[in-house]
Amino acid sequence: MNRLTKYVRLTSGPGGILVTLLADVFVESVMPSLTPAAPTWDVRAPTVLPLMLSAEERRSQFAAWVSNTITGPVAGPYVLSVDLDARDRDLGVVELDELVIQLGAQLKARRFGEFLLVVTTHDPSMREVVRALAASHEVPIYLAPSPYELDQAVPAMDLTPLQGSVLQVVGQVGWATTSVVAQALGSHQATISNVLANLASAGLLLRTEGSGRIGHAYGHPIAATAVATDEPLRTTVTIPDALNDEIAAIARLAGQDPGQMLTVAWQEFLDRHHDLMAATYSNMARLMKENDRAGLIELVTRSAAAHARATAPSDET
Amino acid sequence: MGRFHRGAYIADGGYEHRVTARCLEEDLGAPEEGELESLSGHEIIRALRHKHERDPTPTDTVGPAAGAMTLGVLRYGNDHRGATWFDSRAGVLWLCAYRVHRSGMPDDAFPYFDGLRRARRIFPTDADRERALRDQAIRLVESIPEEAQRLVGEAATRQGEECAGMLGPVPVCLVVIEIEGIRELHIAVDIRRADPNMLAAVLVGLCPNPDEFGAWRPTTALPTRPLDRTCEIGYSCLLQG
Repeated sequence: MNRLTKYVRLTSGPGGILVTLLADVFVESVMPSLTPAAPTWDVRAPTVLPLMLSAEERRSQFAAWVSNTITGPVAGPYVLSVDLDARDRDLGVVELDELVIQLGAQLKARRFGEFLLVVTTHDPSMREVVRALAASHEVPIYLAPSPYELDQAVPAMDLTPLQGSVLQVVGQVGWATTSVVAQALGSHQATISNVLANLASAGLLLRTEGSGRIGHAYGHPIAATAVATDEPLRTTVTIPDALNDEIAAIARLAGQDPGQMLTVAWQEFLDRHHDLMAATYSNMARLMKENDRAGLIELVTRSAAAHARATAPSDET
Repeated sequence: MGRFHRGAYIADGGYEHRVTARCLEEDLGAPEEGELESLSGHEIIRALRHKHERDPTPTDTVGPAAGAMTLGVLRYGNDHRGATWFDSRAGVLWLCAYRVHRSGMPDDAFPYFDGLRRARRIFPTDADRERALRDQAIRLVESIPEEAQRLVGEAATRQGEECAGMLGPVPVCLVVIEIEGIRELHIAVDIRRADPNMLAAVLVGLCPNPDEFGAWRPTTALPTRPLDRTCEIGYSCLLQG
């Protein structure tokens, strides 16, 4: 039985009224032994300061706002959305820069335990500014169009292809263990375990300790809202779309007369996804040693649907 | 002669014959997921094998030629007509439709084929092509390690010579060379019918000690010739034992 409790609290802050949506959610998951409860989820509006303040005054007030807003440490995992659209005035680049710097300082200090930060705005250009600022200051934040579209949350930091694939898989299920991600990607558990640990250390994944035979679980921001629609967390994960798209693009070249384009596309793919190929190879080698033909077939055919769609004949004639 | 495998007939020409699910169900009255061999006695399936064992090119077309989307006519005697389409990407010659031929009658094969084409129901669907890809992957997995190791053994016996073979749908060429007691296996994989997952399976099948992807080194040539830069990629690894 899923149980959902939501309430809205109005508080005042340095920029005026702050609307805080708190969702305390308890869910009986389809994987109760593996899936921790949903993280606490807060949505906050950013502070807006008078434009005539000096840089030093702005910095000081932003720091105070961040310190007051992030009231942690909180018990258990915590996802905070700072919704830039919640203000009636757009923040300028200088303010955004200060906001990102101050949030980054708090996040890097890791004062709040298991904590993820998502900055949201429907304005793509503002998202791009925040992304550039966060990348420049190496601040581990996610960006999304709105607090209610956390399934579209993407990290502002540059990631390796394997890190991106791992994050996408975790984002599909909310919480995932190493074995779930390794199985989804057809990768070696040791490889995925390292990537997950690094992403958690970088502040891009929540982590809850496992016990006994249950491994650590890693959480994506979507875990905070996955149950808000009263839907159970999904347990079926698929190969990341981006990777399927690349395999499909290669498939589209085959059978045409592309000169060397096919081999060039392959070489680029193999260079970019060397880690993933290595993990797939190790997994296949293990399955072959275990004579697990069904597992091998599952791995070899995991891109079949995307491949088939990409090479659909066009019978417009 | 070729051989049947699940929903396909593997022709001597290195490509497959398959029947679309719609054609199986509506035109041939067969289950859409059945083994094609169970229909091997049907006139149109026999015609497919006899006329297209080594060449998928039709002698006549259904309607005007339409480039890569041209439908071919398949004839068996006076009464049986089929419409075929060759999917060069997947290496599959599809039987897309079948009808008994009654010249001038409203239920003749050609108006029927034309109606299917206009209704955009004649070409294989995504599900058809996905089923073909899955069958090809199963053939690949069934070929490793036995066929893969047979090829490695042959190449080791004929050192310095090229040994060509197929691992499922994937053509491969192997050359083993030995220098001061160290044997090295070189391979060229034809990637026109493969995807990266299939490539990983091919490498695992060929490498006798398949613990490390890093044991494979990308190459640009076989010891016997340069790679075909339009469709081959190359690797080498040391042979153990």
